Amino acid sequence: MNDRSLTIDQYSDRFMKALDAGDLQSLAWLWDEAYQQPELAALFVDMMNEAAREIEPEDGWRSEIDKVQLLIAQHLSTPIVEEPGPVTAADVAARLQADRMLSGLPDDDVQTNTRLLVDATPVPEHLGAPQLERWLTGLNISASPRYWKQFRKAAVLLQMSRCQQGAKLQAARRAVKKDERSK
Amino acid sequence: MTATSLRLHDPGVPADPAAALRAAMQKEYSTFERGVYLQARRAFPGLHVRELASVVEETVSETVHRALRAALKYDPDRPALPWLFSFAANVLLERRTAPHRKKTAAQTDLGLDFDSMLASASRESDGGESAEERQRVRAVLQLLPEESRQLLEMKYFDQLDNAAMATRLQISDGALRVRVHRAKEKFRDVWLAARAAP
Repeated sequence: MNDRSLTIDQYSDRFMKALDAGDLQSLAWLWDEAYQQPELAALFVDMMNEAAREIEPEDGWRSEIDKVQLLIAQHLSTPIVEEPGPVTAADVAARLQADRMLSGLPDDDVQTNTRLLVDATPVPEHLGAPQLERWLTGLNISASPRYWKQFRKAAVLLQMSRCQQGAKLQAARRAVKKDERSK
Repeated sequence: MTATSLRLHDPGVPADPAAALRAAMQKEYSTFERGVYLQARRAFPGLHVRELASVVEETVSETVHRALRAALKYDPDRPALPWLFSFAANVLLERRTAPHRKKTAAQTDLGLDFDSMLASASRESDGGESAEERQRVRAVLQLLPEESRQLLEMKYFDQLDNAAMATRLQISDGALRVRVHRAKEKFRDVWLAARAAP
């Protein structure tokens, strides 16, 4: 496809057809075109949001995944214990989003949370108010005190959960070693 | 979303492409992830929700990796989302192993030009065969859901442009285009069903 003289109507028509047909080659080409034309980029993003809205559950596509993961966790007879890493800003932001702890917060706070979703900075181990304040200064991100209160709460819960996972893993390793020795 | 909001770099300040791209990813992350979900769902229609989630997560991660690797080619004065979506479409394309059959116009609408058909239905009748077709078009329009019929009548009969329609319906230009597209699909389906009926 190399036609560079399409009208906006032709572009939007091709975009919808490519999107509906799952025609990834055409989509890649159309996004390349949109990269060159900011107005087209805004239109495609707008159309994409509308097309996504058509197929999403009311509370967003992530909620569907969360429900499935919850069901799996509830029905697994043997829990999967993964090596717990340090809790990061992204982990806490994801937890706030998944647990709907952002409802009622201003839009700026929601945007801050979205930015933190890709921030892999580890959260300090001790989450007292002074430690958190020092850490926040380093992050250079602003949000309301209510948001940080929720953030701190979620971070503490996540750290507790990681500690429990770590303890389970250590106990499982000890049990395996003991088992091997007794053979 | 406006074109300006897709661009994150202040035009007055020289920008580091990688830093601008990272900032764009952080700001537009949820839109980007949602877009990848939509494209993956269309490209892999048979996937279970859990498999789809894993495809989305892997695609987002691989896209970010590739986009940052190619960041020097990114122009911070241009919007970041199309740049990212172009990578994402290619990542998804590589994942697809089974040959994908594109729906062509010939397969879906038998080559009929529904735009012209609807446009001609709005003109005054001059008798003959075309008058019969106009009547059929009007009859099919009556069978459509209210919203679809209204959209097509506004566009083809009242001949409103997109801006006027979007203002009247209080929706964005992009949303309007998607809804008109869906209305035309419904018209096509009913038309073809009516034609196939004995």
